[in-house]
Amino acid sequence: MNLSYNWLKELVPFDLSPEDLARELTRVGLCVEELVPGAEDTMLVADVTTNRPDWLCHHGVAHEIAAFTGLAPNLPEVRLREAGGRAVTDYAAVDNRAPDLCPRYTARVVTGVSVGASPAWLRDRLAAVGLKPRNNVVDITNYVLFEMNQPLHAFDYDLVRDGRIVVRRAEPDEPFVSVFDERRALDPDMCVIADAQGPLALAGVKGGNRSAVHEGTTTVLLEAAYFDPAATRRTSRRAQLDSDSSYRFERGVDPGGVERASRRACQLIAELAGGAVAPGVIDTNPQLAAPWTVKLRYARSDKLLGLHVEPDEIRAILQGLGLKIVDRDAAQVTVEVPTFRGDLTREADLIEEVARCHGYDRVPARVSLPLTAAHEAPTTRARRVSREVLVGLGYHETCTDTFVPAQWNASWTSVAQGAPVRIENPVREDRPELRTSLVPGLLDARRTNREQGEVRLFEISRAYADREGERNEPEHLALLDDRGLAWVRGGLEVLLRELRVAGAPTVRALAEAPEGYAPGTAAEVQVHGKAVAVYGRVSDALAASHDLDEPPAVLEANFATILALERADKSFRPLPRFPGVERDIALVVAESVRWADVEAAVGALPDRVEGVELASIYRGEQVPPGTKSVALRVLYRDPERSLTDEEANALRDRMVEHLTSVLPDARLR
Amino acid sequence: MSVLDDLNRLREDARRAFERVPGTRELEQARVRYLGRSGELRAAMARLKELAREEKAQAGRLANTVKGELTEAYETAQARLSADEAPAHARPMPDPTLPGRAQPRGTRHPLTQVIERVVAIFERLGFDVADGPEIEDDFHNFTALNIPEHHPARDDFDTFFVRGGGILRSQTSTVQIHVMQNRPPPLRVVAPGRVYRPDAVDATHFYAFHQIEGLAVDTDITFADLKGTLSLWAREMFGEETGTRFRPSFFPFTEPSAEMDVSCYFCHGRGCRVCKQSGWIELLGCGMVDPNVFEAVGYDAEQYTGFAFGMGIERIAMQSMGINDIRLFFENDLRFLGQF
Repeated sequence: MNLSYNWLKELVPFDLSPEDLARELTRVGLCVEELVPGAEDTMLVADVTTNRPDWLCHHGVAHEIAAFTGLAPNLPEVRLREAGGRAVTDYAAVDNRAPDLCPRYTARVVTGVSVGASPAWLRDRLAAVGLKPRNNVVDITNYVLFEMNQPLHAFDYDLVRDGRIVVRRAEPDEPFVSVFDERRALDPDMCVIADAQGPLALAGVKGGNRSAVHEGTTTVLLEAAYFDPAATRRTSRRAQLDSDSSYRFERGVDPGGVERASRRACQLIAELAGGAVAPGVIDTNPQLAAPWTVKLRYARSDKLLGLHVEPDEIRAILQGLGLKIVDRDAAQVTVEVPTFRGDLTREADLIEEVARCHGYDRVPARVSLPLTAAHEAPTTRARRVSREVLVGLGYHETCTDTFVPAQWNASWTSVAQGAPVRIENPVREDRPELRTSLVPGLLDARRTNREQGEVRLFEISRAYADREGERNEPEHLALLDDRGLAWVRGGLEVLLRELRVAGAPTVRALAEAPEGYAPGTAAEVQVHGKAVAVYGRVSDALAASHDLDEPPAVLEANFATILALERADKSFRPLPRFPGVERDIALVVAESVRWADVEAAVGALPDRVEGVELASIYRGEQVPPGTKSVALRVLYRDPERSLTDEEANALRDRMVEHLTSVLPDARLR
Repeated sequence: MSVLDDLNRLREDARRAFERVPGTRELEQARVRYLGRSGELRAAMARLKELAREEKAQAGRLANTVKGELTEAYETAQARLSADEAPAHARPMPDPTLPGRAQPRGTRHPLTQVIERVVAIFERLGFDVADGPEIEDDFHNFTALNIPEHHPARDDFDTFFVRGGGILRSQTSTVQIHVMQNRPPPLRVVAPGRVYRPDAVDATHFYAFHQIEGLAVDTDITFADLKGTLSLWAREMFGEETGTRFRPSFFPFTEPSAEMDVSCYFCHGRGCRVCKQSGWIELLGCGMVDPNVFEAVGYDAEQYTGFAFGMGIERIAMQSMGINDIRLFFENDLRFLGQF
């Protein structure tokens, strides 16, 4: 909203520089964002919040300035001199068939008008608020708009069939061409100002090209109306047309100021464009706006603000804003609210005015929240611990886009169940879906970092899926690790341990690779038989589609599933009293034998086996093709005594015999 | 020569030899000669057999003593030589100024770091952390927050539409509604989360970003409490000398509404490019919960009052860390992430 410093100064005799004025207005809530000095005037560019449409004009701002300076405003008197002769009803008639969309419509007629350039003062005034002058009649309507916040429309009376205005809903697909030659097809939710021939204007939004005032116009029909805010907004959006007028109707103009603005404009037309104002006004609803009352309890104000403001001051503030006291006692004051303050309907609204005008800075800052035992929620704690652990393991946390290409969702099987959620109006046309998994986003982040060598990434964030109409937003944990499968498995195991999950995680290879995983590389992690995570190497095709040379290993898990696992607190286990003995066993096995198979085989002979580790795997000339040598290290320990070398050897021999018999084609190397 | 004499002579010769050997080769020769399997000490000890019992005992004791001494002399010589010979063998010189090595650590994303800092401060003040859905309905995102349909206030909260119904939340204020619907007052929560607005993307706008919402409701909460709590937070967040300023503003879900500025953390209020010479940085919106919101969730607006606030995380991160492009947060370039 552009305000002219000079114009405001004419309305209220304040003694502030433009900078000071801007500062004061901002202090009371009318945020002046910029000062644009001109040759003779300064323009204040203000950001008006939607609750104060009355600030969209100079009179409204003048009232505010008067309130905080205590000066009396000096608004120009509206003095309309009507001509003699035929009354307005002889010239024109208004048939309002849509009073719900147009609660009030007024019309006046001015004859003998000379349309031409506006006088310098008017052109300057318009320039001061950033408007281009057009002709005197149109300029006057713009002037009164910025003066009183009442949009007006001037018709060339002779182009209105029979001088009969019909306010009605548009027909389905009714054509309309605006004064700027914009073509639209209207619909019955939209209000038009029409004559017998068709629409003359899209009500409250834009005039049409058929009846605009032009150089040859001699008689003006002036519309001043109140259009329903919600209807105007709907119309403006659907027709994709807007204007300074629609902007104000959407926010609500003063229903009680309509006719006065009409008088003001006609006064100016008569003065500046010649012309005689036909006596009378056509007004479909003079009773539209009646002021209302609101009660303010002093105690409530003190309580809400945390500050006592003297009732005297409260009353002075309210009166300074133009509210009229209709009742008062020791506990409360009741005020009548003028129709231009449609935002003041409740006690809380009045309390805001008190605070605003008294000064927010005068309210003390107090911290008096009672003590409560707020605890860190388990999910918050788990997220924090997880991040700490993963950062400690060398993973970098990413923040990836919620929106993804449909192809990403289609080419990856997520641990989340359901179909992708689709967005009707994405900003990026190539990203119309919400991600069902974090993994493709991590692959994209990997691609961004192609020059960075070996990369490890993690993210704890939401995925989205639609299960038969129910939209879920499961929180996922995802890892990406160039080092490979063992590392993402290891990372998860460390994490589960740090989260104190009870029970050891086990891994089983997935026979069929889910979409996006390289065949044979996918595995599922379980705790107590519950599936907790899936991991594997990305397929070559998927890696290539993300421009990656080497497919990384990825892991994803439903975070809530992890958090739901049973926890076990740390508890002490006595240290072993007797030393253990390690024995290495190198087995040549078929390539298809997995570590899980070896582990399971060892587990079938648990006698004094405390643990088994994979020492190394060898493939090469020293073993037959199609086989590999798996070196395991078994730790034997007897809790009751030290094992001798001979005993350990015997245990080892039994293990070798067992493994070679149980594992297919296995022999000692 | 008697065995005893032999041993004593050997003791002297060998000791002198070990003291004097100039190099490891010579040392080895001496060791073999005196202490080796076919060496002189062995030979002398072999002769113990010849002796009568009393002499044998005495000679045996002497032989052991000599063995111990010579072994020690040998080891001393060995040590001496390895210290002496170091330069000749060109061992690498230790250099304590070589680059340090460490297990590589990862990083938390800068947005996570800001969120954790903000939340930690409020947790210390007794606030719980709350959560809510990102896929929302009109009621939670608008109506309950006192933003009626077809109201221009909706312009400030443009939304993405979900196929099949629903929208993506445009502010974390939706969580206020969920929390109040699910529990009775009093309560004190903060709710960090991702929000969405269909804005065109540029250096300061992205269609997805993060906010933290705060809400405190009780029988006695005042605007003074709002000012005090947020000023305290600002000092914890930005430093003891941080000043705050509250200006009237408008949000549909608060009345009175305010915007809070903090004194510029770069110039401390003197005026600079970051704060556009004003000395203040606009930080967050806040206010007393609008009675219409209480009504929408079934709280008694007469008995309860509350304050609410919302802050943009990217904005705080960009200002306090000097980041000049919001898109960097979502690009995840490690050269960016690694700076924080």
